[in-house]
Amino acid sequence: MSSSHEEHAPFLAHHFDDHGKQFDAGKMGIWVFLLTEIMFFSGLFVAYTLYRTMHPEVFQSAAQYLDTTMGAINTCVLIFSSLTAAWAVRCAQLGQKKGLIINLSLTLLCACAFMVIKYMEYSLKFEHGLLPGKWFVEEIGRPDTLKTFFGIYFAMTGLHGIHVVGGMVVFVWLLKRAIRGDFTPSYYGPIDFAALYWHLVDLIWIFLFPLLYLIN
Amino acid sequence: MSSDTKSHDAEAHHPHVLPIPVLLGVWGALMALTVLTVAVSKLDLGAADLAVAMAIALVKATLVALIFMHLLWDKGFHSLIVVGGVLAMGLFIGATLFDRAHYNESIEQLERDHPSVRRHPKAIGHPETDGHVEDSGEASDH
Repeated sequence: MSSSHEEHAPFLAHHFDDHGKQFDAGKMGIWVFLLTEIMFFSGLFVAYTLYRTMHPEVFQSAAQYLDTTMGAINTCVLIFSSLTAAWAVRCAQLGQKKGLIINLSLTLLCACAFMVIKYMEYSLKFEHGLLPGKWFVEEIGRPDTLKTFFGIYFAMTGLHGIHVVGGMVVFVWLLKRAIRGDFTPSYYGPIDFAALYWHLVDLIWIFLFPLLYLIN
Repeated sequence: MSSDTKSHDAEAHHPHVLPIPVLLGVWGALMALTVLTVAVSKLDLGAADLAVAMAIALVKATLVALIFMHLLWDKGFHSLIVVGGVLAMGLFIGATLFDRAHYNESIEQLERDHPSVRRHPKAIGHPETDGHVEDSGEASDH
């Protein structure tokens, strides 16, 4: 940053005594952010719960329109990316630059794979007119209450997908910094915080998968 | 000041480093639970379906939060934040369901009185929900 900081550790903000305090402040910050994220998604989970209790039959009829295989593959992709994100933190803590770069790249790659599969799923839904509200295409033998289900489906998976894209942006930035050699065992906060965010994105999917794709 | 910073660096906080077998073990458990939840969804457990699926998801979520997210070794305050969030979410969902159950009677009454505001104005393939039977002129009330 500014030249007066040159003699200090390069990424230690001047208002922190040491890296430990800077890390702790950042860590608490990210947990509070994750709390707001839980609250953010909980509105959609309320909509889901309410509509499912009121109209369980709509969810049963909707189940056949969702591809369990694609959902399951995406679940595996996200779980694997959670492993590589946690492994990236380990590498950063131990100062293993090469391992950090590999794990960040794998995490980013999984995020891309997730979005590609999501894109394929969305395309199929668009093709068949399985869309929310007024965009829903009515067909014989297809209850039009499905349009509300697909409203919930697109709102939940869409908001989750936006979070995946957000994570991708962060991982590209971290990868660039990791290659430059910014991270050391005393300064790896950004890796740790991004991994926490990524685990939350995975956690939300862990609930979305059975709620949307595994309705019997 | 420079040497001061250095000494702080040297004695920087001692983070908890996850051993590789633990990382792989959690990943294996999460994969096994995913296979389990898909397998269970193929069985017909009736009303228990959702409860079982949610229980498995909860175990997976706990594994991720406690180990991958380091909550097990982290400050208790961070766990408190998570627990607080989950409780608030439970309150949010619980209060909404309670409210909905409380007003269910009046909603159904409203639907009987005003067929035009039915939740199912049109359900293709389900003619019985069209509401012709109850359509006896009360709709002109409004």
